[in-house]
Amino acid sequence: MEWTRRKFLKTTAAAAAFAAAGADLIKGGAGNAEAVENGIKWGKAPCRFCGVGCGVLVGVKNNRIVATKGDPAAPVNKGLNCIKGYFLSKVLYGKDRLTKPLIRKGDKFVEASWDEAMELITSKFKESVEKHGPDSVAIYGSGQWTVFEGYAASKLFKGGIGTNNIEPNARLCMASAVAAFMNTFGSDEPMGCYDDLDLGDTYFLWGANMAEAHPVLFSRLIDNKLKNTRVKIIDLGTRFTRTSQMADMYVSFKPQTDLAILNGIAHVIVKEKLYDEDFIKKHVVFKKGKENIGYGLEEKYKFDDEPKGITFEEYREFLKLYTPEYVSKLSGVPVKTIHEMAHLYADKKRKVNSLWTMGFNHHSRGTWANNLVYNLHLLTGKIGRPGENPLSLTGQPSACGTAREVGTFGHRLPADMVVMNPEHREKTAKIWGVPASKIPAKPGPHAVEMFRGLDRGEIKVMWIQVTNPFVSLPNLTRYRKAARKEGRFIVVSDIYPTRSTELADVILPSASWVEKEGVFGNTERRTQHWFKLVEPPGEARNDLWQTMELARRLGHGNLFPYKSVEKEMWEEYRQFTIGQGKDLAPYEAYHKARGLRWPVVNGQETLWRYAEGHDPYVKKGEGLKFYKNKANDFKAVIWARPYEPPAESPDREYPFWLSTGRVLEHWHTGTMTGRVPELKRAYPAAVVEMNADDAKRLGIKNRDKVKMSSRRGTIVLPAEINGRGKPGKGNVFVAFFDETKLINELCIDAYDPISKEPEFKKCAVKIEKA
Amino acid sequence: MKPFAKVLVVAAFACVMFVPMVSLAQEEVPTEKEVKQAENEPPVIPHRVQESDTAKECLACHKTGKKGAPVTPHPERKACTQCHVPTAGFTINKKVKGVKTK
Repeated sequence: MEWTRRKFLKTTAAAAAFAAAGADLIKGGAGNAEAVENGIKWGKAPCRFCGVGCGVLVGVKNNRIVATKGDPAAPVNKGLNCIKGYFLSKVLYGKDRLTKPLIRKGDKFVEASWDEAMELITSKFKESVEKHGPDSVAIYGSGQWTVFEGYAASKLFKGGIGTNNIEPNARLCMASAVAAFMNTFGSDEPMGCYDDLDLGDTYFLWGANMAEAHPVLFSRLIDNKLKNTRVKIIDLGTRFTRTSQMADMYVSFKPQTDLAILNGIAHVIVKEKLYDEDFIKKHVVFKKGKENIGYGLEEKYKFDDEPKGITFEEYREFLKLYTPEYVSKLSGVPVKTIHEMAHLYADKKRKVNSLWTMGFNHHSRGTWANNLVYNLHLLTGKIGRPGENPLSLTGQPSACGTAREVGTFGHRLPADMVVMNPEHREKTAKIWGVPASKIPAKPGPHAVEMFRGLDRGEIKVMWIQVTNPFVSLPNLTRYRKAARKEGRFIVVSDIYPTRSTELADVILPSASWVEKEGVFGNTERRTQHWFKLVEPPGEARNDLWQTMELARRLGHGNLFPYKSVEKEMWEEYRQFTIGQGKDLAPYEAYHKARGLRWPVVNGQETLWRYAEGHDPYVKKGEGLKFYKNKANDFKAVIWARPYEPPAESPDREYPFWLSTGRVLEHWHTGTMTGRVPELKRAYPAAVVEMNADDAKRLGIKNRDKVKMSSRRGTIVLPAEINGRGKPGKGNVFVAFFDETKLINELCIDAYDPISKEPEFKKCAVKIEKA
Repeated sequence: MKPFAKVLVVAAFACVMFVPMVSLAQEEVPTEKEVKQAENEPPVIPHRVQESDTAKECLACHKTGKKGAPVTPHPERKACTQCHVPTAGFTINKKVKGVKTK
């Protein structure tokens, strides 16, 4: 970045303003990341909640967090937080915080020492591995794992125990985005960054309720809109939300038909020759894959895509079916609107961005949906340039930094490597200091298959860290029962009692957020570090320590020979990223910086990947280069992906579509936000949002109790009509934060055969007055 | 050394010293107003509002202080409910009972 005089002065002014605000981090104390004032010690950290990665200043007094505030120096949020962020100081202090290890004795849990608990866990792991082999044990973690926790778990299981049975809950969240980044660009994670929210003028939101799920980014978008009258926000969804309310255009469509709409837009762009021919010649290849690919409902379902190269002509031929008329019939979107959207995407004077999250990813054709939106950007050449990019939004604080970058999936290794590739295994083994033969070539089961394996009995011992699967899995009843089957042993590490700890054999009390040192990586490739600021309560301990302690007791202590654990582990992990276009900076570089966006080369972060002048891997004169996609001659892929129906659609017996998701006040399964009185009061319990016409037809009034059933389960909830979200006719919506209402018991465990990510957004239900 | 070169050297030194103090990543700098806004928890809403209400309805009172309403320091922000949540019962047509946490 160039340091002009103006910027220098601006920065100086900011430093002064910052000091005046009472958080003198810049001039301040230890490591410049902490400062003391009025007996309150201030440190910085990324927010604990979503994937936006807002910077927060944390005030500590007498070993307790007494205040938090948005960090004005954080480029992500510039001092703003959403309501969850403002109440961060309270999330760790619920009355029922776990402070001692607990061991199940019959139906009760009995307090135990760490030594007893760890000895029991170790003996179960040992016994299972000896009797049934290493693939009988598993660890299920999360996109809330710090980089260290994920790295240690991966190293222990893949490099120590010798099994690829490691999965993150990010499989339920980001797997389709990953699969499409890999098969389109040859490397995971976005080319653009949040600066595109300030610099663009046209924003397509595909099934993303940003106002509630990514509030601070939505505010950035609205700020842009207020400054620039050209800015247009187009919200596509099956439910009218707070986001739709603030958009310029709301496009309602029937569930699953996003695939057809995307192809319909491409149809118009190609037919009317609105594409950027020069860009396509230079940067694009065309491919098609298998069709009619199934839904993964069968046990041990296997699928491998078979990509075939095709020509632009063949792609044009493929698109012929998707006339605006055909798409309109399928989706309910007017023909005129499809034309209008195509012209917006292709308008050479418009800087177009696409934003999406779980609408695409919680989709039995999620990888296809991601592919199809990239198609639009690749056809029009609106990619890799400041202010115009596709951006896949993430939902967890380190789904990117840990799950995806460290590679805590059954098939992945750090920095885009996979266990199936012998060279990748060798490189990994070398850095880990283990024989290459130790890492199995066979990928571990994906999340749904892992829990099916637990049910069938192949997996006998499972450790769950930083997540709540027995609320968040689809087709939940099956997997809740599986956990308590004879011969299974479940360990759950958490900070509060949850619906998952109640099914455990051992519960371990964990340290959370600033009770430990950590690193998270957010949506825009920004790696953010924080120091430990308070001690965890009672005997609660870091998950990192817990994993390393299991390693030590299993005789794999040699994997973690560090004196200064976090620093040395970071420098070891960093070796994977250097020279790969995923370069991370030395540990100390993150201590003061409000995060750095990788690749970080020579101390410089990268705002736009693949773009000359921004990405140091692109040489002068190359302009744009998808340099990670060697297999495709450094070009990106336009995929011919058809519309196919979902696994389950409404019928006579189950006439409604059920979609699930988030509300602003709560995060995930509500274990933290549910313990903040202000948030709990503001949104105390789940409701079923219904369309007013549907409710009227069924004689259901607002707040009436309704009984909702799918083929898998039944739930009773109050109806909400014309409330916060207004689903389209034939659709209902339930948020999944409420642990007393397990909506996922109704969800189908169909998944995208490419990414193996389940379909949380679509299944068929019936509704009666309760 | 020519005086001009001296200035350059000093400026370069100042930059080198200053950059790491702030942040390598820091792109845009918050205004004083933004810093102030970041100070406290946002006040909760002690009255009933409609779900359909937008910034327009909120600002009808909170921009000018009509009927004694507290004046917002940031009338330019339009997603009011992103930070301000009600103390109880959100929409007029919705009654919510308190649900016990475990």
